[in-house]
Amino acid sequence: MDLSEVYSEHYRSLVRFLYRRTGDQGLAEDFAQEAFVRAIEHQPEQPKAWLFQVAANLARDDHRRRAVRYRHLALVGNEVGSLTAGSVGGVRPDVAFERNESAARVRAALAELAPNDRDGLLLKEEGLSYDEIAEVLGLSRASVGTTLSRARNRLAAAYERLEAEGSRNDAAS
Amino acid sequence: MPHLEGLLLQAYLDGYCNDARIAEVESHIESCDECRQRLDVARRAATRASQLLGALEPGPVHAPPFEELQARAAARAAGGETTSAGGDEVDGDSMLGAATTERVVPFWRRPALAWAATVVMAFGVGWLSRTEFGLPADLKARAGPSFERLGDATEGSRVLPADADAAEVPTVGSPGSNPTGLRTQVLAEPESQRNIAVTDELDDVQAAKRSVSSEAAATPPPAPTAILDASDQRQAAANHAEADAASELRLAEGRTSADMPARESGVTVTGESALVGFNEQEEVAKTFADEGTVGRFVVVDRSAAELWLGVAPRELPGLPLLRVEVGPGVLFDNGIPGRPAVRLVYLASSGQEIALLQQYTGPLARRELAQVGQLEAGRDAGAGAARANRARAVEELRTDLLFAADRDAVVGGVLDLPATVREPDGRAAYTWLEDGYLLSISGAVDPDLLRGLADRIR
Repeated sequence: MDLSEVYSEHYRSLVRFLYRRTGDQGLAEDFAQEAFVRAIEHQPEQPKAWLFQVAANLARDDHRRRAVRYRHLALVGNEVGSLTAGSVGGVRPDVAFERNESAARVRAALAELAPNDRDGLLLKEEGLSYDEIAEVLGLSRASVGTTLSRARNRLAAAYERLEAEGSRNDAAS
Repeated sequence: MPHLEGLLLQAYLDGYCNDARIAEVESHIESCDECRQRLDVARRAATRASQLLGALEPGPVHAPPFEELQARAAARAAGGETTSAGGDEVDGDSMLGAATTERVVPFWRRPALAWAATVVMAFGVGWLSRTEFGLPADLKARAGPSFERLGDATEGSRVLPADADAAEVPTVGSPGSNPTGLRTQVLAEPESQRNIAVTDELDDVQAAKRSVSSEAAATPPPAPTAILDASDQRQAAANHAEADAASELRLAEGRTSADMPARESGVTVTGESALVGFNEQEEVAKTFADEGTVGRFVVVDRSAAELWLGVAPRELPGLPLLRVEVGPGVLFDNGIPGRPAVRLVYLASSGQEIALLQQYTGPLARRELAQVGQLEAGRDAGAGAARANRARAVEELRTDLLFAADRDAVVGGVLDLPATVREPDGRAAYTWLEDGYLLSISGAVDPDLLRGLADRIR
């Protein structure tokens, strides 16, 4: 398939994947465009999986750098012990604003997933096949099903827990 | 009638079944209430997840004309700019080189090469455990600084207690107690298999075959030296008494069943097959390749871990070592994707498993291994060339087995402050950087205890 066709067909999907991954639409668009520019340079044979893989790497790298930076800030400002899993888990502090509470909760729940679980789930949502997901995540095909099943259950469980905590906090205040 | 496997249901749900499988599932659930309910549960979970993710929709997406992206690519090519929008550390070219060339035929679809790599690993293990990286002391003296660096790093491992052999034997069966939740696959490496003759005619292993046979013919038994480690002694013992090897394999087998969920039992190493000979090992290697070794940790011999990491792994003195595992860096939370990772699992006095996960952040020893090979090549054309071949084979092994999972992951910022994290499942992890090692100690124990253990390593 011609790359321009891939672009018109999958660019929005790539942006959505990256938006869910990073929480920042501007960044998501930048990364998606960057992935396509690289695809133009390198002409991959299987552009779809390739693009998502580059996108996931860009997001992961970005997240890693931000997480390190954030941890430094947190360590300077707080006792180490006060770092909770939630604050380290990947919610970008500068993207705390969400359009609504439920979205914020989904994002927080997503941040609690293991990286491969989260990416697998998000890739499946963008219509990637088991083969493509295996390719992007470097998993065996056989483990994609397990990954997806686990990710779905954990996402729902985390969401429900956060929801319950939220309503308790509301009641307390 | 046996119920449908969970994975099959999941694959059916996700539209990843061929027609025969679809028919199998559909005819089964017509008559099986239980499986129908399981399918419903899985389907509801999938719907629920999609519904939740639906809350995260981007706003109107700006899509520049495709020509604009082409122009950017052209400008970049003209200016020789490296692609680095992902971040300052991204070397786009190397990353994408890997993505384009290696992507085409992924490792797990190249069973021959993977098989060869596994075989080569067996030889590499044997070779490395002969002496300190298999080099006589006089050669080491001539090797100069590049080898000294490797040698110095290796010294760290010599704190291994004399009875490390016994300590490696799992003292408790602890099914499902994998401390980090990562999947573990057992690759038992019987000592008696190390120098087994290769009879297969695969081209990929020709080099390794030659190196083994020529070395067996040309190299006298290594002279005893002060730095012989526990595995050498073990090898000597195994050579003399097959019964010892058999008992060790039975232990390895026990470990297999303890560590692996039933549905992953495609790879089994039984004491018998490992002793019988190469065909069985070939089967194991093939299954190993089919299963995909990427994305998981594999239980190995300790000396293989050193080979994997490129330097001697750091150890946690004072606790019994349950097992040694190697895996890709991408599985190391906060670690460095693209770098080898080793996990030593210890038994704490409380009965919990304590995992010491580590990566070496310095220049990878791949180059140094190659240098070792070249040095040897200069010394003795026959055996030296064999070593050089083997060193290259080791590199290939790592490139294939290890870097497959990480091949275009990018080395990002390294966590450079000690940090304690408590995971949602109650496991705590303490991560720090020291002497070029990124170390993370974790377990379902008090974080203070982990910090105390970390101090023992320092």
